[in-house]
Amino acid sequence: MIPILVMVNVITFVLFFSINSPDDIARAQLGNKHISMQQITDWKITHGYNLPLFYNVKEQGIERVVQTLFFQKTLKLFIFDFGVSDAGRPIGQDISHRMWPSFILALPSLIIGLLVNISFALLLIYFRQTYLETTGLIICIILMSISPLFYIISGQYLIAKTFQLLPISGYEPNFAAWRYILLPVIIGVISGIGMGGRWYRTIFLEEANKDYVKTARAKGLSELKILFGHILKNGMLPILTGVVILIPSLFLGSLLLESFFGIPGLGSYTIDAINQQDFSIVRVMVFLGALLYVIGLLLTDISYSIADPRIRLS
Amino acid sequence: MSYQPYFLLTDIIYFFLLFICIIIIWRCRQTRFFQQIKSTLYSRKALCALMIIFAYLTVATLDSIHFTVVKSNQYFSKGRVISVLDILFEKTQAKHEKTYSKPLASHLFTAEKVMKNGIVTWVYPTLNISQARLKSSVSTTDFILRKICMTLGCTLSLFLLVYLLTFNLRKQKPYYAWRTFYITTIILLMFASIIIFTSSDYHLLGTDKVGNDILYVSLKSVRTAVLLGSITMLIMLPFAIFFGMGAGYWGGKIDDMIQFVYTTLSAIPSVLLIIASVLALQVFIERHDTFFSTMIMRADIRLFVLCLILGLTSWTSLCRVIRAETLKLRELEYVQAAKVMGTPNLKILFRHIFPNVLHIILITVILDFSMIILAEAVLTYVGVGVDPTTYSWGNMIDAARMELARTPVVWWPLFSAFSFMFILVLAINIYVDVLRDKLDPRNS
Repeated sequence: MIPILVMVNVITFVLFFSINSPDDIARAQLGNKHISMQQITDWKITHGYNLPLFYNVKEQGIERVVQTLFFQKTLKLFIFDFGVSDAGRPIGQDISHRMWPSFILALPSLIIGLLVNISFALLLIYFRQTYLETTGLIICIILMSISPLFYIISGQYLIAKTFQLLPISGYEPNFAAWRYILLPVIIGVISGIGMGGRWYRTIFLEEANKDYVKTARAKGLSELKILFGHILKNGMLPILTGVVILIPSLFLGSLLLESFFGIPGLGSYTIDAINQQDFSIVRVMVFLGALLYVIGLLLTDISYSIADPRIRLS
Repeated sequence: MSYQPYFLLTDIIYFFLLFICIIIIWRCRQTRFFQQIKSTLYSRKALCALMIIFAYLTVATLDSIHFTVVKSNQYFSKGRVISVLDILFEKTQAKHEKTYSKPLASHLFTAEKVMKNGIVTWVYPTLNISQARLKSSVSTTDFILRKICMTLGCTLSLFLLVYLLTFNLRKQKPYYAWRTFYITTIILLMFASIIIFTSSDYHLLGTDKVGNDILYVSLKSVRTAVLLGSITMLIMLPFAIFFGMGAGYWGGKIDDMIQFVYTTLSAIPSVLLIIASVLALQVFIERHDTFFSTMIMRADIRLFVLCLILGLTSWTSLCRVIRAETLKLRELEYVQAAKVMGTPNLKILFRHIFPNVLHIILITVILDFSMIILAEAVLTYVGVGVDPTTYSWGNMIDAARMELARTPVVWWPLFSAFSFMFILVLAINIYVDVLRDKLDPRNS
């Protein structure tokens, strides 16, 4: 787990610092083209970019490794010391402010999305080998062929502009946030049905073809009981894996939704940072994303052993 | 000769890829696997989807044959890099409008102030493209009738040609969905001839903010989408296949290392990894802009770099699937038997294991192709996609996203970008669905 995070840091470090030297960052931040070397050096000193990349020959002992850009800029992330952005704002503080809107948006999207997808998939299984299933599958294919941008743009146009049911974009803290969150959540859920519905259907279908389902049916259990008591219960295990894979994609979804709906969360923070070429923020976000993923992996392993006692953590 | 052939980097790769595909198909045409793929054509929807995909591929191929203009003529200035598609659309391109116009309109969408005898009036100016038609003595009804006749005539004669050419084949192989084939042919031919005959007198899908013909822009975008998808696959496949099969077959240290690499790569949220790499390379290109003399070369390099990055970041999921399948196959009796008989490892991998993971590879590749087309629009919106000067659906959507807020609404740029994208992705998804039923019945 830790080696993965270190590796992630090395990759992002190489990406940002070997191709873009600190001089280039200084030039990009200072803006104009006619700047003296002195200005660049000053900027580098104030923002802590004046150190060598991996190995500092001027220092003694352990300081030779500590007083380097790699240590200062990336390894400090492990103790959640995010430092200051290139524009001069403390990143840690920004993130703790912007975390909550992101969280309020992402969590309902994930949970409602899961519920909707699973119930859609169960419906498809319930009506299997009928015209309803075929229609449902065709709808799935159509839904997953539509660009996510289309859902956002048309949703904003129809619900917010034409019928004026909800605000187009914006955000308010605390409970007033629900009016601004509702539309993005709905759009997020709808755009996920196509993929999710089919994915869960294959999982349930595999379970539905197993022998214990036939036995249950032979015993005379009703279809509904088989569906919820057997298929759903046994299908939960592969679904758990799927949820972890969803976490990074949730990041992408939020990235788009937040910037379209003007929600001041981490996604729009990242997009702003990209537009301003503020690499320190992007670096921190990459680290946080990787951290979330790794935590997700760990959680799956743990939940596996809880859901299925045959699996032991080694 | 007023044109001279010109090769962009992505063109070369694209034609190389086409060449490889044709050779592989030709060499493998007798195998059981290929027969299975061919049997998807018994299904009506698969045949229809495949024909639509081929129509898109044709547009992309036409647009990948580039020329430089040696001697400037009335349509193109000297030194410009154009493609066959540009030559087909030279008349439409020459009639550049000022700003928005509705599909099939004869006047601009916005009114202009005109001084007439000292009085200021607001008029809707005539479009450049329809001036010749409106000035001539032919009435609009006659004109449209004439166009309809030309279109129908062209469609029917070409269709007759196709019908006669396939006549024998149809008698030999009656299992294919021939009726669907003919209906789709008629529809595609009709669209093609409508575009060819009317694009010189109408903007079929209107014009955008700066007066570009939307249909032309949408068709040009096909190349970007297809190239992005195919070159990404070309880059991704070797990684996924070699690492996946290697990790699954040898296990042990090699497996641990490869697993570590792909877990690391997939731990970084793919969007952010792509963004980070594109940003870094963007700055690199900007700093070394002397390498790339022309704007089109720069845009082309950026397209290639985007493919490279997408390829390097997206092989992990396929690699994981191939590894899992190889792990299973390794224990099968025929592989064990080959091992006992002393077959070299590489030979086992490519004789016995590779053919059995091929169906997974094929399905994933085609599915990822459609995913990448959708992802391009998103990435371009975020600002790390293709170059802003490249024609792409993402750029169209990005440019047009505020237009729905206007009153009256300007809907056609968004409409055409989304529908062109939708049709291609839908066709691919439908085809994959049928293909999966045929190749991998357990998972469908």
